[in-house]
Amino acid sequence: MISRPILFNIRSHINNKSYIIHRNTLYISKRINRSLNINYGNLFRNAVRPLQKRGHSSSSNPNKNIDLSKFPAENIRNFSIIAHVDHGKSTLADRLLELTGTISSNHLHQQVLDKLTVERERGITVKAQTCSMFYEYKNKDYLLNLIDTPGHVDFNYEVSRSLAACQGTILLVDSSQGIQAQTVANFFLAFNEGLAIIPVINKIDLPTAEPDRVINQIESTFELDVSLYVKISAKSGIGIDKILPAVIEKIPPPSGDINKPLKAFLFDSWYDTYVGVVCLMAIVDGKLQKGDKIMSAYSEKKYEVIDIGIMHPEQVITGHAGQVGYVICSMKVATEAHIGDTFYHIKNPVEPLPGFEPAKSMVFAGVFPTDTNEFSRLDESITKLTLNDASVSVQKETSTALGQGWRIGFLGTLHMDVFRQRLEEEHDANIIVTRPTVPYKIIYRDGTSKLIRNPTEFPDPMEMQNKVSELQEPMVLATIILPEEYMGSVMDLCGSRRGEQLEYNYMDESRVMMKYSIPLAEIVTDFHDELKSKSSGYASFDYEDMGYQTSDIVKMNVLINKKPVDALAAILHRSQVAHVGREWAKKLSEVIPKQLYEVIIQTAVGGKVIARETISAMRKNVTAKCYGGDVTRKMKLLEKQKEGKKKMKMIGNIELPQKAFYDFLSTGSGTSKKK
Amino acid sequence: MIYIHWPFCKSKCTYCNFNKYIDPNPDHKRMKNSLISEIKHYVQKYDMKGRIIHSVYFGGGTPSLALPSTFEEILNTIANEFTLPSNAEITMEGNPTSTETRKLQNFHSIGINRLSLGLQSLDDIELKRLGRDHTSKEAINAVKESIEIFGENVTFDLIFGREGQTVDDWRIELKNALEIASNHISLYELTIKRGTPLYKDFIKGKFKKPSPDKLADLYDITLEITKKYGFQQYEVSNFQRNEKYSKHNYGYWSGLDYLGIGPGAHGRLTVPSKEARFRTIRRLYPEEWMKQCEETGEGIAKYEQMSSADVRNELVLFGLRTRIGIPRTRFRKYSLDQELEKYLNMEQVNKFIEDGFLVWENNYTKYDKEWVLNDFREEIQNGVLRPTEKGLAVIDEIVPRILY
Repeated sequence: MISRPILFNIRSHINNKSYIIHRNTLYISKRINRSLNINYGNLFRNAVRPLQKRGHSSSSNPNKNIDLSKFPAENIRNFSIIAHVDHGKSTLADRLLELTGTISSNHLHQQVLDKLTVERERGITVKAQTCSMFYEYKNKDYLLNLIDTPGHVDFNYEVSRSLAACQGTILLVDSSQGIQAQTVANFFLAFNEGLAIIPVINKIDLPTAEPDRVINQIESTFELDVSLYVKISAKSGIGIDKILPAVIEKIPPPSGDINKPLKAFLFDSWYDTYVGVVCLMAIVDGKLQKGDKIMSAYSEKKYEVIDIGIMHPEQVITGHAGQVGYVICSMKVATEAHIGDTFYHIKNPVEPLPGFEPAKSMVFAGVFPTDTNEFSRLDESITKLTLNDASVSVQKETSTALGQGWRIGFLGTLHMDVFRQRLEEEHDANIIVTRPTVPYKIIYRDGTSKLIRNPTEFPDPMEMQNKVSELQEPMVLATIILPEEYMGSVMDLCGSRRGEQLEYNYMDESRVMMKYSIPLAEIVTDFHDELKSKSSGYASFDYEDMGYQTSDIVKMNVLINKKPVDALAAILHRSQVAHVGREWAKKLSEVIPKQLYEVIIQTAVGGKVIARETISAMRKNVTAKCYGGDVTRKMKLLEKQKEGKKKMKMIGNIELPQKAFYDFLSTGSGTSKKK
Repeated sequence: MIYIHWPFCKSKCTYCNFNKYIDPNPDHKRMKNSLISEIKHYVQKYDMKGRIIHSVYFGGGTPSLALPSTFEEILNTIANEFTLPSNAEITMEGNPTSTETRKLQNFHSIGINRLSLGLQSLDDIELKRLGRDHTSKEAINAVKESIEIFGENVTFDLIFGREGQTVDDWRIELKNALEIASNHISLYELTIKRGTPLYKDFIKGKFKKPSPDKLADLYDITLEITKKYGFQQYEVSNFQRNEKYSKHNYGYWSGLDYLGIGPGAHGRLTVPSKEARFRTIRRLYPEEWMKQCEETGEGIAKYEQMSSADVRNELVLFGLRTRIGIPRTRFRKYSLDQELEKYLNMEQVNKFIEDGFLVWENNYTKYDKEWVLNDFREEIQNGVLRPTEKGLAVIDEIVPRILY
């Protein structure tokens, strides 16, 4: 949903005569292989052609014409890899795909599982990429489904759903870095799903590798049986051959019953320009085939299955219990595919699988075009991006200061940054993103409650006094792992962010794991950056939802010459107001250009002014020399200035260029910028 | 009005971005013939025989490096082709070096009656930094000798806003200058223009511009001191006493036609047959320009019709840089009877009037020495929109806001 395939990728794969197991690429590359003069209008028809008629593929894959009925549930293993960023998940996945001949090993594509530039740049897998492999072990053919999990806390729920489609997982840990916060969070998600866990220690050929120490950490932190761990180097291929046997032996096969009514579990989806919404489903019970009419347990919407198959270069029609693959049904937009949803045959409803939650945005920001004339173009771009990202929620918003824009909800700040980057890079957008706001909860005296996603929705003083009984803010449980020497400064940081320490443990002689309860609002700005700088980059951090807690929150207004600027209002905890108020006033006084009139910038809560800065009126702006020869240049400049003035936002007498908002919001006070 | 460009200099000034070339031995004869051929060509092409010329201006470059005989022939040509009244203003720019000062009597005798000296500073260290090839002593001497020859019709330029210059430094320098000045002086804030050595130093951080506040202080003190010496600021950087304003320069600002002759010269010209105004620009490089003049009679590079918006915007832009502002009569005259009030964004104009940046003078008849010049008393009869002193200081902010 965050990232989808790109055609130029595909072309290079064709030239290499090798396949990349890449969700949509899979479809498209096959079709391109069949006929290079591809007619996309026919794609769909081609897609549903029976397997036998599908010409000769130039694939190097030997597993042609696979008969999936040869793979009953006991010959199937559904597993995932959980790891911290950079611990080598993508490399390991590549090796397994090569080992099973799913992709050729002389491929130019590094790390099959990480697709998008933003993912490569950040070294994370934003969204899951899943694929199937065939493997012979002890004279038996196995169908192994590697179900990828997103690698970032923002996608916690999606991780848990991906894990729910597995029966086991590889716990991959870097042998020199040891257990990191993300490893812990993902481990507990897997543990709670009751998965079999295989510890794998990676990068053992590095000079700094300490596999034994890491094994001890795993044992003491997770109380896990480590007698059967595997030591590997995914990069150089050491120990790779031991992994799949361990998967087959330690992970139980899926327990489905083919004779029961259909129960299919949707754990991922994306939008493909040519075929529409593609869902990844695990068939828990029963049998699913093309032409079946199915229904969502959550939305009760009906769909017809148009295409079905496994994520493998040789597309295979499938649908037996225990199998995992893609399903294309008549879904129009990605938002219809609810991660965690259960599907059944229309006349045969079943009990939905537990753990489903509708997508829930945790961070909201106003997004505005820098040039108001760009609104309709950007509106289309945003619609396109949300087509394949069901976890983004979009509402139109109008700001008196910034004009028309959108209030967009994200799963977290990384998700927000990725969205912003894609908008800027793929859609050439020039945007202003306001300070992110978390959803606060207003509890009314009559017992009702309301979530607010925008400072403008904050109750006014009258409403506060007469109707509101309390305000609540979302909390998270943060896990921080770090070398003990940084404990002091990191504890100070958490303290300054209103964090409350819940526990701390030594994982070994020198590494500490701390758990904090911290308001979500405190970590959506620059917490992660601060943590990295306070720990010289050694601390790792992850968090999970912890519900709501009563909080003394207020709305801070920014006033320019006494007039409030809606786009700059913020909801803050009362204890932060003095500090943030001063900082904002100061920063604004630095980004607002001098005017013909004095500018007074104030930050205020209710009627109380927190800070005040003044920009004195401009004293002089006049070209010294202007004679006959200077006229052409001067007239050109005049036209430019006239245009510039038209783009100014007027706050009373004061003109605010969009750039001032941009500079203010992109230099720290606003969104967290990870570079 | 005729502007004649002499593009050669002996040395390079760090701040200058004019069309000039360091050439100690230009071909005086070819230059002369080309300049004359352009003048004649103009007269013929636009049927201007006998038209009255109020002002001739020899600019540069360094026109005082030209031969007086060259300018003599040019003036003779102008007198023959056009009508050159005896009270026409004939200005030449000059460098205050001693060698050039010696030639001033010759220039005066061939008909030049006004002299504009490029002093730039009275501080020797600063003169060196600016790349000038004269000393302050030479400069003071040049001013004195010029006044002896040209009387009241001597002006000179100074530059303020130099690196490290304090208000007190400038106060003393300006007072010294005004002590020896005749009745006109131009005082420019140093402008860093692209393509100059100064610009390169500025980019490299070798030259530091004074802060905006410092520059405003320097500007304020300029106004204060000139006033004490009885000078009126009649344009942003130009100050006069005794009605001795520069007619030529005022012509640019008040919408008059001017012919631009010589390499890179700009001109503005009404062609009555077409009921339109045109801009002319000459070839930049002297060699190319001369060659074209020799082959076709003129060294034109660009000749374009001005749109009515261009004409009007120019009147507003230049007019508001003068204290008299834009007389309604003038605006109507050059803009096909468009009323000034109908052209401007009056909501903005009224706001600026309310806030003390602009003044609307209706049916103006009395004389106010702060901003009126005698020669314009008739033109302002039907009212003007003019900047206040406060408004003039920020006029670059105001103009784009009052135009649609």
